[in-house]
Amino acid sequence: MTTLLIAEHDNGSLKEPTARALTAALAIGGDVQVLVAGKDCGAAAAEAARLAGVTKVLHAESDALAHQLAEPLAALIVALAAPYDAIVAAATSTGKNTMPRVAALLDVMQVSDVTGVVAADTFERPIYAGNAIETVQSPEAKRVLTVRSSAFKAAEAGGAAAVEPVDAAAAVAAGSAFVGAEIARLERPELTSARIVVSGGRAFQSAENFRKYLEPLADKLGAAIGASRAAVDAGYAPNDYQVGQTGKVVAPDLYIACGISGAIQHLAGMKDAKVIVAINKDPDAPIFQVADYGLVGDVFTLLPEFEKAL
Amino acid sequence: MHIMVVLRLVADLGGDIEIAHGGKDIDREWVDLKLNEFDDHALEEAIFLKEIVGAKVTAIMIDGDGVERSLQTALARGADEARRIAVDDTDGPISSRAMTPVVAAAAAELGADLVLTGVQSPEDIFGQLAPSLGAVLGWPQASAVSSVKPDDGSTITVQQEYSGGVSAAIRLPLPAVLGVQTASRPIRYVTGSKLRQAMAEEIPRIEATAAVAMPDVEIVELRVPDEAGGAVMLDGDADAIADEILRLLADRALLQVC
Repeated sequence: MTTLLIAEHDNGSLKEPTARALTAALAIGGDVQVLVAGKDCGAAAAEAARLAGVTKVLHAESDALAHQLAEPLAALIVALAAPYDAIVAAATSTGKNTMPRVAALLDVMQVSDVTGVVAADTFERPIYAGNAIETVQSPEAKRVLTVRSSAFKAAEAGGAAAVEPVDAAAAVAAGSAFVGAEIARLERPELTSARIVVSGGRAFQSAENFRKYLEPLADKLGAAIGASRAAVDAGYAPNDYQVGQTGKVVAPDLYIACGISGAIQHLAGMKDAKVIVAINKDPDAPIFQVADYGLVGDVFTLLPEFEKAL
Repeated sequence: MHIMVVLRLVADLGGDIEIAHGGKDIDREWVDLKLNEFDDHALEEAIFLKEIVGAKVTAIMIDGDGVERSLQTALARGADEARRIAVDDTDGPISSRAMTPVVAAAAAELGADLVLTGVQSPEDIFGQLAPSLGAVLGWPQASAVSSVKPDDGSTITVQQEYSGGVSAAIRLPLPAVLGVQTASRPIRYVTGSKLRQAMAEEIPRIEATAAVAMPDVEIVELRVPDEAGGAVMLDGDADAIADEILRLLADRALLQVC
């Protein structure tokens, strides 16, 4: 049995979900080969070859693959798919854009958001916005799987696989074109990969308060800032702060929920955090059900004390 | 431009999930249905495009309970036409992936050159519908779109969101498929009189011209994850519990003060 893992990278280096998805791919059993498809992505391919457990790296170079857009990348994967029993990618923005297209082109049912590998053909995955876990068996001869990377540990370095160039002619630059990226200037760690996340809800009552009380704390802790949907909808925090939204599943070592009651979508986005501290005025708030430590009180009194004590 | 918007009704589960007898599905007996939140944004974006550049908007749904009412609401919101698509009886709701061939065939028949749908739904957290529609139709596609700008009539430029505050502008030639995350503007309020007017409209029902994709993935078990036991609650003065929580976190080596 051989699995093809699709690497997520920025051409220069691998992104962290790749090493995590590798752990899931190895759990399926058999050989794992990695596809690094991009433009001038030799460094990322070399990095993939150093991951422990990888038997071969396929290195595809093409102008059309520079931004890993769905159409050329999916076309390449389909062209390479024949010898593989499973095709695996992390459930990231790129994976979400590309893999359902691959599955439909191969005419197989994708198993999405895998959080556990029970057997080579049996997987656990969250459904109903993360409030239930489904165990599914896929009898397909070729399986297309996407992996919730926060559910798996990153595979370690220590491998020395061969890097083999592959023909990227299938990746035709038809369809969408990349116009430009806009990167919000990040002064803090990135939300989905931060070790500590400080998150705020409606209790802050204004955008000014949200910043005034959360930013100093986040700065002191080297933490990313997150927000509940209520805080985003009320305009206290920008859209991309929202935890529980598309792609925003966080699993930091420490999650500090400030004035967040714990709507089901939010809980689905953060309950895998190792330790959760919740601060809320309402002792019956649902957030306390998933928290490890609960502090009943007002964010405006507790947060300054907390920051002072640090 | 003819925009087809794909709407889906989803189980309104709130916080409670009851597993049905047999342990493979939720208990649907008392579950309410609601319009998928992201599909609502897709509809809003379609109507927004209609207002700024002129377009025909057709809303479609796979027929079933509550569908006529949802499509009447879409008309009241500003859609020009609506269709419910009848598919052969199947057990239970049709998943996003399974409806792909049916929806793709409808797009071709209606002559749509832009298909909008929600980026994801509760039963499809991953968001398979837009990318798999793109594959079946052979059209380009983009997921997690937060705004759509028409260019010269033959292309559109969309803002695609990635995680970590990164977004990219992507230009797609028409026809194309988009999975919408947020509309460019807030979802409009529909007045009662407009709604009442739309409720009188009968929504044409058309037969599907493609078969539903049969799921060959078998559900072995559905379960609700174990609830954690609840938090250790800290009581007392603000400064006392602030010190206490810091000590607890420091003991677990969780703090690295910058």
